[in-house]
Amino acid sequence: MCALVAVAVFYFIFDPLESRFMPQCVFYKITGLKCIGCGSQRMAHSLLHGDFVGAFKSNALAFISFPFIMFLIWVEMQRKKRPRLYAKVYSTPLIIVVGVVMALWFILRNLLDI
Amino acid sequence: MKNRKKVSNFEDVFRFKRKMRKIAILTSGGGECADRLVSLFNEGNRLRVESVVTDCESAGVMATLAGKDVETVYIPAEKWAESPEEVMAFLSERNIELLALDSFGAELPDVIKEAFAGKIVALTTPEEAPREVVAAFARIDEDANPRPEEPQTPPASKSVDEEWAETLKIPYDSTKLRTTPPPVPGTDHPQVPPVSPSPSYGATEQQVPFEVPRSTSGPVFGHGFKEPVREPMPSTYFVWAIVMTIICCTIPGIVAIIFSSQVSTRYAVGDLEGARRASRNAEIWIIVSFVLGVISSVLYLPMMLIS
Repeated sequence: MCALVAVAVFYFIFDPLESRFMPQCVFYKITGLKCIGCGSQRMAHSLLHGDFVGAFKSNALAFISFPFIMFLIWVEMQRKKRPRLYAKVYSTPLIIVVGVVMALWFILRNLLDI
Repeated sequence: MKNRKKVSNFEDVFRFKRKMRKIAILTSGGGECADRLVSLFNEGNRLRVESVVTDCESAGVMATLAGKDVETVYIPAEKWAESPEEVMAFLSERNIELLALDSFGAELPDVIKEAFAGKIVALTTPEEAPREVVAAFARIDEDANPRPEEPQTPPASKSVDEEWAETLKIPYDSTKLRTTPPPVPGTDHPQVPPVSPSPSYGATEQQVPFEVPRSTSGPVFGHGFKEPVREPMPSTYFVWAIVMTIICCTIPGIVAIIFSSQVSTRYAVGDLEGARRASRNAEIWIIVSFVLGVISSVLYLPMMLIS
């Protein structure tokens, strides 16, 4: 919990575009291709400042799936109390679909340069 | 074409533990019946003597059952008379379904008599005790689920045996019908006559193989016997896998995602052990991804600070 708050504060203060403290995408540096998560730090910064358009532009997939990720985290926390819900949500089809979506996003963003 | 192994039948895979029926034996004396019942039942998983309670401090039963897999408790006679609610609480804590009295001298308090109405059985001898317990359970289940009225006399139309004989085309001879259980090989004891309505069984020296009637009725004191549940699915670590794929190294993250999906498939089939293994693998690859991400960031630290 405290780590989350700390991370949120950190991204609130520091702008990834200007600051030198941000960890940077090694994948991008080596290959020049944007990885799946490229722009997520900028997105976090924009979100914490309320700039949704900018957040969407930084990493569209992460922006769109943000509420879904929050739902997944909640279900994970309810694993023992609601095992049937957990089994239904974390079913193989869903996991595979998410994997495929991420792969498609990876290809798409490099082709279209978004 | 890959040869795929057929998934085994679901019923085979989900081997639920049967409901264990619990009894308490109340005794004032040597507890020979208690001893017999404990030796007979407590190894198995159908019926269990949960506690043996005595109101006599010097009762021989304490010594007889010392070291056996049963709880022996001394509740003094004053406590039975003055605070029967405590004894009642003691019994309900343990989900006791049946009280068996083995030479029990004290008068049962009214609270207990009411709560256990129809669920008290007096044991006579150690030899008869197991049968008496089974019969008592049969009575309890019968009271809970009264069977629809069956005609006492066989109907005028053919009996089931006759119909079977006709179907199988064998001669039907009513004089040859068995009314006693078939002889158990290896013993020369006279067979115990079946006690109706409980199912009959053959008694041997070592084991009494019989079917304790399973109660389909609900709880006894409001303690529901819940349906046995499987343990919840081991964590897929899916969220972590996604996060690691995005933030740190992509490839170990993808491997972690694959293992996450494996957890799900294996659990759905019922393979708990495989699901746990896949879950552990997913966890390992998530850690690998994290470590690689950290290492590569550290290696690029000088470049980050310069640029």
